[in-house]
Amino acid sequence: MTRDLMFKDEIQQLVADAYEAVEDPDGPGARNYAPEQLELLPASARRWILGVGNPVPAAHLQPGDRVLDLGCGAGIDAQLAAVEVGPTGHVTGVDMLPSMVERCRAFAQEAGRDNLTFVNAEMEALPLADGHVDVVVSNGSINLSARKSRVLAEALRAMRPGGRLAVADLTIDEDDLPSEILTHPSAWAG
Amino acid sequence: MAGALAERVFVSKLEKVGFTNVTVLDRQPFSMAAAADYPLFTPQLLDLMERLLPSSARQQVATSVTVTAEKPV
Repeated sequence: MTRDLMFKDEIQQLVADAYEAVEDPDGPGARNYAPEQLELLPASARRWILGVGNPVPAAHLQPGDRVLDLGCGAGIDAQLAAVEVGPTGHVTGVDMLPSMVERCRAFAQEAGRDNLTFVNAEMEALPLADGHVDVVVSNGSINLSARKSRVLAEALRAMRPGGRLAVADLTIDEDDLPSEILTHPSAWAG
Repeated sequence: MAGALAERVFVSKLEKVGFTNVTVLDRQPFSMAAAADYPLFTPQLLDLMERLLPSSARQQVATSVTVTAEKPV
C-alpha cells in the first residue's frame, strides 16, 4: 500500500479542518485575476478567492458549454465560467465541504446567476455521468487530494471525447524544500 | 504544498490517465510572502519555512502552473 493510500482519510480530514477554520479571508488569490474578472464577482465572494491561478481564460469557453469546476471552493471560477458559457451553458461546481458549497450557492444567488449548480462531493468520486461536461477547470485543488490519479481519471471520465481541461495548481521541486516542511501536517492544506 | 507534485510528475499523471496535448501554459513563482497571505498556511508552517529556508529560496517555495489538456476523440 502506498503512503498516499495509507493516509488518505487523515489527509482529507487535515484539509477539511484547515478550510473549515478559515473565517474571514481577504482574497489572497485575487492577484491572479484581471480587474474586469473581479468586477464580475460580488464583493463578498472576492474575499474568498483562495486559488493559485486563473484557469478560466485558458479553457477558451464557448456559449453553451457544460463546465465542471473541480474542487470549486467558494465557486469563484465557476462564476467566471458561468458568465462565459451564458444562459445556454451550465457550470457544476463540486467541493467536499458542505460549508463551501453553501457559500457558493449564496454567492451565485447574490450575483443573480442561475446557470450554476453546486454539489457536495469528493473530486475522487464525481456524481456526474460519463461525458457529462465539455470542459473541466480547477484552481489549486488537485494538490489537496491524496489520490491525484483518481481525481484526474474522474475528470477524464466526466468529460466528453474532445473535451478540454484547464487547471491551475501548485507544483514544487522536492529537492528545494526540507522534509520537515513537506511532512508538516498543515502543509497539506497550505 | 505537501501534496503538490513536481511539474513533470503532474504532466505524466495527466498523460497516464489518458489526457493528450498536455501543455504547460504558464508558470508563476509562489513566494513565501504570497503563502503568508493565505489563511491556509498556518503560523507554525510559516515559522518552519522562515527557520529552514534560506532567504534565496523564499522567493519561490512553489510554482503556480496553468496546464491544459484534452480528452481524445
